[in-house]
Amino acid sequence: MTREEFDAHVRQVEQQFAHHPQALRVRLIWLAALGYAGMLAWFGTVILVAALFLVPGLGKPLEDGWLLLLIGGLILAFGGWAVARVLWVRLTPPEGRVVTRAEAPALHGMLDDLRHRLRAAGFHRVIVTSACNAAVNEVPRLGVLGWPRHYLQLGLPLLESLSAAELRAVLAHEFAHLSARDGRISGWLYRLRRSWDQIFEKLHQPYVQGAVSLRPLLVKFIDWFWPRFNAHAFVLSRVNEFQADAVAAWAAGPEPMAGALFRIDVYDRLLSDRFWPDLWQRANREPAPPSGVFDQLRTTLHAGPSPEESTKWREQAFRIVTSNADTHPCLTSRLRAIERLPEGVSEGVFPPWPPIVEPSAAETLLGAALGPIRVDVEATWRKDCGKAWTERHARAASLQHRLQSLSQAVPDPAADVDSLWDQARTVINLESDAAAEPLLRKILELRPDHVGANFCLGRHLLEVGYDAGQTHLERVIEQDEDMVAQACGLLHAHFRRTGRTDRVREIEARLDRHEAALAASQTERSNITAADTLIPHELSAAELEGVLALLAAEPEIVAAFLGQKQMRHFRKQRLFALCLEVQRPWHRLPDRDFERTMTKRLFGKVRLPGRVLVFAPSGSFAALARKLRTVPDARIFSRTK
Amino acid sequence: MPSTYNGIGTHYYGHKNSETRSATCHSCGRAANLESYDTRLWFVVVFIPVIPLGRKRIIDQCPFCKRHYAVDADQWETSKQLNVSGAMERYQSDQTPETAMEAHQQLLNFHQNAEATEFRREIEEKFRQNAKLQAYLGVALSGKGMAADATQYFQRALELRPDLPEARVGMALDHIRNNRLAEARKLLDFLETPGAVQLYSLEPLETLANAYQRAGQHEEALQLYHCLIEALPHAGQISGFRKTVQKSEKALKRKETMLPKRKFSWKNFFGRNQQRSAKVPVLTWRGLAILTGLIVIGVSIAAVRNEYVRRHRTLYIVSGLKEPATVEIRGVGTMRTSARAEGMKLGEGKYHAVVSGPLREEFDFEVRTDYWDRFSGDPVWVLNVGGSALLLESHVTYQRDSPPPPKLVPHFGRPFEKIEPITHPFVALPETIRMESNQRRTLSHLDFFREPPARMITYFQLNGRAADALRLSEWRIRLQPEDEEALSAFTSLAAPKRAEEVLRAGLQRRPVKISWHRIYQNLHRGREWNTWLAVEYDEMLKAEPKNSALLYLRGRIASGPGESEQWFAKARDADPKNPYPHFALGFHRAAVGDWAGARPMYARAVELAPAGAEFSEALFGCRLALQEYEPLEKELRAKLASQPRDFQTASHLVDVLAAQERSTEAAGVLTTYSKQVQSLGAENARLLTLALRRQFLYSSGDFAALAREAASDRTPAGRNALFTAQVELGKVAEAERVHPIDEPKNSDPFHFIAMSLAWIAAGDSKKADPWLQRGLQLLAAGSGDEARAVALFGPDAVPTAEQLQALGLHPKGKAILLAALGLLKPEQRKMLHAEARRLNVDRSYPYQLVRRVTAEQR
Repeated sequence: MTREEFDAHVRQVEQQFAHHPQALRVRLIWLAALGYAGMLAWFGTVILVAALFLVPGLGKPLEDGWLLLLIGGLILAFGGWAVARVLWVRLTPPEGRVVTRAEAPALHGMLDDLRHRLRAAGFHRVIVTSACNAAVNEVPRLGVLGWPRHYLQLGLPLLESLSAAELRAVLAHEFAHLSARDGRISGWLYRLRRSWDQIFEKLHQPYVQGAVSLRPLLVKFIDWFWPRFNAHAFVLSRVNEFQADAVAAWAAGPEPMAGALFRIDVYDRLLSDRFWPDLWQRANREPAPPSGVFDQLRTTLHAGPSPEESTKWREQAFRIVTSNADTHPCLTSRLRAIERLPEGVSEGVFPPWPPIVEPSAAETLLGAALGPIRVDVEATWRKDCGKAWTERHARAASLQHRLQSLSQAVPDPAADVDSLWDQARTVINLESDAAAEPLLRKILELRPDHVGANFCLGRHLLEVGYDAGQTHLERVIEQDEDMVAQACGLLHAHFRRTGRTDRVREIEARLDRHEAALAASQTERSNITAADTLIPHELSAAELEGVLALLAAEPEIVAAFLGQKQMRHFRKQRLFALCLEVQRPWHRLPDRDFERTMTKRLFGKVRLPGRVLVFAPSGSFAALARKLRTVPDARIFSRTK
Repeated sequence: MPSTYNGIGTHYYGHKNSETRSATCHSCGRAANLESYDTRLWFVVVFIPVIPLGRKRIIDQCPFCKRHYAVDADQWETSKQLNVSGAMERYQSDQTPETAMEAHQQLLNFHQNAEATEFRREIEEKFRQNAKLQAYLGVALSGKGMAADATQYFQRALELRPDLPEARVGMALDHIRNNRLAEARKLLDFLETPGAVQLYSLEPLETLANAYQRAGQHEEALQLYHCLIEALPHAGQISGFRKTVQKSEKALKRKETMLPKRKFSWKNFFGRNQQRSAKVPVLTWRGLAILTGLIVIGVSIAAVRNEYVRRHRTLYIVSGLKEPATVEIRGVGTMRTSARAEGMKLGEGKYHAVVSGPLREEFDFEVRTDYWDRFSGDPVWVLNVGGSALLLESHVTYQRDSPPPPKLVPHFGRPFEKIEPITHPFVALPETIRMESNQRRTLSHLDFFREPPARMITYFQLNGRAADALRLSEWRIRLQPEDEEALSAFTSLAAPKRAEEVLRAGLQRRPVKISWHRIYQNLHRGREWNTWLAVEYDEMLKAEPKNSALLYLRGRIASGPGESEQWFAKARDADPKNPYPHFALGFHRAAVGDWAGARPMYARAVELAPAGAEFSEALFGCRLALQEYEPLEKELRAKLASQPRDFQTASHLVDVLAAQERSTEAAGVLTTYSKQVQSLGAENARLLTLALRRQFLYSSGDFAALAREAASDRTPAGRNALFTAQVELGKVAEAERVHPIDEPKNSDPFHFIAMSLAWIAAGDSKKADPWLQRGLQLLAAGSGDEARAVALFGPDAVPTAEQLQALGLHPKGKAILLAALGLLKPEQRKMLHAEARRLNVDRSYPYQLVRRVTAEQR
């Protein structure tokens, strides 16, 4: 199912069940049952096939029925193993610093209070991570069959940037997903969707390339089933998100909830767009990850962004639109839903940057444990990124070497697009698109259609907020079909950030069309048979002149027919079929070797504006030749005696 | 790949448009000139092409392992033309180095070497100033094994762009080939920088290091190996790489190695890590398709076989009748029965059978098995005309040592039967079969039972299968009323009422079956029964007054010996060739101890009916009494020489020798006999030998040995032998435990009287009394002679010689009776015991007891 189809499906479900949430739940329960049945049917099939042997075998004395029992047993054992292997998907639990009740009684006290108020299931573990986020993670013990463990992930940056009241709102939102307050079924369906999403993604990965697995068959079912379930569950999940926000506002107050949503959004941008990129730039110089990173992070949070950054990120936070790529609605929608959308947002007046509150949720709720937790989180971060850091450092050294050799080796790089492009790529790899901008512009001066340079410059310009980047990316899309997906991806992200919903939809539709056409086009271009639709060649006399001269120079050729295949994808591409009839006495069989030599010789010389197949009307080409003769104006050459 | 088996299969014929290129084989990994060519695939028989299976383009056939890719030739041609022309068209419309490289690459991909060469010449000039294209051409030629030609392109690229990695690597490899290692290292210096592995392949560095090693420049080699280990730590765990590094370290006599410590891994331990990708068995879809194909073929063969079996069943038609019958199976055919089983082929289904000839019957039957049984079962369907044939199903186990006795199941009396499993229907089982020493196999056999049915009845009786014996004996006497053994077995096994019904139904049958009537007469004991029988037989005699058989039978139930003798005489006169009157008259002589008088009459009976076991047994007893030991021994030895496995003859010889107290010779007879009967099978031999041995031990008076031997035998025969030994050893109390006084079904009065003798002989007259009273009670309820005998035991009775003469009892029973009477009547003891000794001739139990009791009283 394409994005466009999925969006249409979601819209249809939204319209169909707009005022019937109960009907949507019922529909989803049926779909969930179908999903389970589709997965468990494998076991049923194995048991059924095994029973075909076991039942007659059990009805006989052992000396007569042993073979049937053996076959049935083998089917049961191997079939069961194969099915279990297909269905067995192991999701690893999230890693992080576990925060115990003894360490942080205030945090656990808040969690207990919320759990009781919201009649929600508890968490098996509370862990602190390095991300600026809070999430409930569900890890099913039995793979597709469920029985989950719940993990609450709290990002240390989040704890450092929110107040205790705001964190309470965030936690209330997470609890609401596990709560019975708004119906266990809705919560179960919400979690089932998230769980299946992860599992089905894993199921698409084969165990061993080329090895036999029943998994592709299961994947076929999933490919049919999942978009349908997901479209319904998506609508319910989005409703669930709004409900969770409402519950959080009820439990913690609407102001803290609104404050938390806004703060998380903009502080996440501060960290992901500035703090972390700046930190990783240090890998070019420093061989190991620096120490005190989370202290620096805290300092950055307190210092806040520059005025330009503040303006940009606040605007992006409020302008970004909801998409069907995520069940979470956009910030504006969420604030509007809890009736806390600041005035003036629709007119482009955004609230000021929210300063860090003192004391932070981390200080209030973790208390004395904050220090050790921060140290542990940093240690985990260092461990996790240590290898990547070292590799990046080494890579930087190699890139520096390459850059040096490039500047030494090419006396006048401006004259050579290739060396300029090599330099630009090296700089991008070493630093950023911004650093390579002058080089990219120089390349485009020399070769305006240079795909790589257009792509990188377009990416950079969109990143810094210049619409001019669109032009470069459009050029890429026009030039190189292999780069369409990447260029559209950049455009999609840009339009979403800037709140241009119409362009987002357009890009999604374009991507869908491209993806569908790409595979089909490759097949279409690589073959021609009698089953294809053939149309006249539509070549001018001048274009045909060369071909006719070649044909005339071959005395054995008595006739030639030319047509082209009607292309359904990438209509600009042309594929010609040229059939040669060779002189032969009526009583002689076709001389295949001679025909082949003839076609081979001519193929090397024929030049037409597209792909060409030169063939003789024999063997498997006979049907194609017959069809080609029926195409109007196909006969381009006849030798008269 | 095509393959043939014994010249049948698929094979390529033809070899055109051949092109070769130097590359590494994808299958065996060897560097070789891989060949591509057009050919045709054929289905071949004895390598003669029979069916064309299409033109093929063989791609990259390795000259060593012969592995290759094969595609349809026309598809290959289409794909080649479309891809090449597409790339060329792009180049024509936009002549850039990138499109030129793409077009050239397409020509190489489709092995258009000539065109590629021509095109290369065109573009190398056109883009002479483009370093990347020049380097690409170098790489392309290197890939085709044209390293020398490639060098010029690398050289040119390097001149244009000294930084270009492809050009530096290409030139470096050329230097390495020409042993200019320092120049090569200079060019590859960028690979030695940290992090280079993330941007480039370090393979050229390893090539250079190996070259240094070969050149003996181990210091440089180790420097490069160090770089490789730094960049690729995993390399330090690979055995081949470790060995290479260690070689240089050894050459430099380094004490410390740069190699990391090897991590233990079971895969390494078992040498699996090196060729994992090549050796790990992976079931591919192709493999699965082949497997599925084989399974489908196997299932198809099984299904066809199943259907064939269903349509080709054999119905065996058998008959035990003397005259042949005609059997018609509607819709199949007609067949006449014979002495052997006739097979009729038919498919499974419902049928109607019509039997005509000696008997007429019609019935429906069904030949059917379930689907799975056709694979594993061995059923046999038998149409048994009138249920007349006696078939024996035997399951015989074959094993090297001591195979168990076969399991035997009789089949008779049913007109149609399905019997399974039968592996050998109506064919002999093999004597031996070849198998592993520890293996055992069971074959099942079905065939006519060719021996007299009485043997099977006896077998069942001996093995405690009384129900089988009864069923078989009843079936037998209905079919063959003259079979005396079957008849007697039937009467002993059947409930009295049932036996009387069956026997009475046969009384009117003519000619009169004497044995049948005798058994009928013996069904009950007592004067009332005899009186009733006399009325019945008088009625019969009215209708047939001259019927010798009826006259004889009437004599058997006469009120006294005198009357009996008259009837027997009449019977003899009515038919002098009827052996029974002779035998009966002889019996009368024997009953009074007139053995000399009895002998000619017995001899006449034997002469008239040599097969009559009762007659010959009586004559033997008579001759034994007359002590005709010498002629008897001579006759018996002669007979035993001709019939060495005949039990009766051996038994008689043992008695004759024991009577002469020639125990050693009797034991010799036993030994010889046990050897002779081994051929009858181990179990049969054991049973026969045991029976003869027990007789020998008793006859020769070795009761202790008899007791020892029977102690652990829980069979009825074993318990009887133990009882006998204990009685003779004076352990009467132990004997009583084997056969207690209130033992059900024991109604032989002489058994009880013999036990009273035993108690008296053991010195306990008190315990003897109940036994005697029980015996006398039974005797009193018996025939007239028996009732008269009881009267002699009265306290006031004084038995006279005349009274004893008038008792028409069997000599053996009479001897027991007189021995007991002698103990009770001390005044007449001498006379009574003398008479008892004269009658005590039969050497079976209680011969020795009677002998002992009468001897003591002497």
